Amino acid sequence: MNNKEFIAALSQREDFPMSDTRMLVQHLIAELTSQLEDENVVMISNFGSFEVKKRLERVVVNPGTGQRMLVPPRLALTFRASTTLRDNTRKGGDAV
Amino acid sequence: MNRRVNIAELADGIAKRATIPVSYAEKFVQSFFGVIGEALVREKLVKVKGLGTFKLVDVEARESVDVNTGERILLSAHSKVSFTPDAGLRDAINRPFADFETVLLNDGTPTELMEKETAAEVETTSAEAEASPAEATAAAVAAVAAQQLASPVEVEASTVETEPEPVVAEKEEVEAKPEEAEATPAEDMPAEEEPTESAPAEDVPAETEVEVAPVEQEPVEAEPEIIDVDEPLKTEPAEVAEPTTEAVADEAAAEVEATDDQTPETLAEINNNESENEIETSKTNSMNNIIKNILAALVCMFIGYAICYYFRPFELPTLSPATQTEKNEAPTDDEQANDAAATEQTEATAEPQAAKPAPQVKNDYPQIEGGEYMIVGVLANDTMKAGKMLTKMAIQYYGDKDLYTYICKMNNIENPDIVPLNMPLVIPKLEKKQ
Repeated sequence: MNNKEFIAALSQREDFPMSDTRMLVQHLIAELTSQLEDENVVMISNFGSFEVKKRLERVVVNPGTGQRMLVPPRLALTFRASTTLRDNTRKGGDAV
Repeated sequence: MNRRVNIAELADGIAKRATIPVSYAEKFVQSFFGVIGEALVREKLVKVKGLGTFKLVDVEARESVDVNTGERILLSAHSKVSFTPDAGLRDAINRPFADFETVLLNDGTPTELMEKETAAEVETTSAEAEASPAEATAAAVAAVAAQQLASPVEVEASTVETEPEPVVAEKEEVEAKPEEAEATPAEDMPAEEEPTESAPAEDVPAETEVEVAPVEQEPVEAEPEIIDVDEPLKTEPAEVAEPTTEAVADEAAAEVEATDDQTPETLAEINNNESENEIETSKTNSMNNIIKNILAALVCMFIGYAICYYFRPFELPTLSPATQTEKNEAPTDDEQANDAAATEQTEATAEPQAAKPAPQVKNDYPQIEGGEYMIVGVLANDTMKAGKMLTKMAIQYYGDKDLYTYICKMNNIENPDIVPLNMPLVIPKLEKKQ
């Protein structure tokens, strides 16, 4: 499901016009991003939690050339599915 | 910072941004993630622009071990949710660290510890701090000293190179002699590096004098007088004054020569002053060098000791017992103890490696591999009676029914569901593994 289909499904469910839905989605993502930039944990019940985690710098080796690179530390966004979502998807995964 | 934000708080922010009622915003957030969840189950992939991609990834069935009981468990195949953030969101999150880039490491860079680099930096900064009270010349001296430490062969070469030049200077002009004579004995005293440090300073006047020499060929007769006067006096005003008298007596060429003479002399004076500064700084430097040499010697001794220590055990098995005992006499007490242990090991088993597991399994009790506990002794004796269960006994003795596996292990019960009546049971004493 791509972005367009997602907006369509959401607008149908909310009974909003597509344009309004698109705008609201943008606002939601902007708000989510600003919360995550403050390193807050965003918990969505029945879905999961978004958390920013710090990854330490590390040395990696290119197996082809043997070159060693120092990868800098970074802040990574992680998502952890809630148990309800996990159970739902597990069922879906088993069905296939 | 690190606060937990729930749907209500998120909806608050959205309501402010979009100027809609909070209740709408909250409902919208819930349906937003609801649609993602449903679509994920249905289509296994949801892309949301600006947020990222949610995907269902299949996980194959695999075997694992229960950490508590050491039992083997089969984890069934399932699918899990993976989330890959959009490039824009990822960069926005990583903005504080955006300036960092992946760096290619050179071959010489030590990877295991960054502490070493910081230590080296501290050393260099301390060296700079020592140099800072003195002037730039002192810094140059320190640099020379550092180079000398790094390569003693170069130092030898430079001394060899500088040696012939003073000889040439002596031949051409004797004036250079007193300055060198003043410089070298004073500088020889504090440390070994000094001759080379003073050498470049001496080279400068020597070379200029060599250049002057062909010009001076005509008034050679006048010069010895100056030299005779210069050597006993050695005072700065006298040196400056005499060339002027010489200039009056001789021709215009002699004037040029006199000025040429002055410049090397003043240079030499400056060099003398510098060499005094060098002596002062070199005293501190020599102290540092002595300390560094001692430290280097200690490090060498330690490394040698370590090498001996590490290589010896591998040699032991090949040696005959007689030579072993001979060797045992030489090392220190610790080594003797180790050697004694090693000889015991070699007596017990042919290979020393085989002796290593022995102390770990000093108690002869069976162990569960990968279990959280270790069987270290006998806690109690019991007998299997009707209505009793291994799990109940585990709860009775350990407070955890899962630990019945240790009772099975202790009593060689293969099937925990079938235990004969009145079977004597040994309840093992458990100790948590480190």
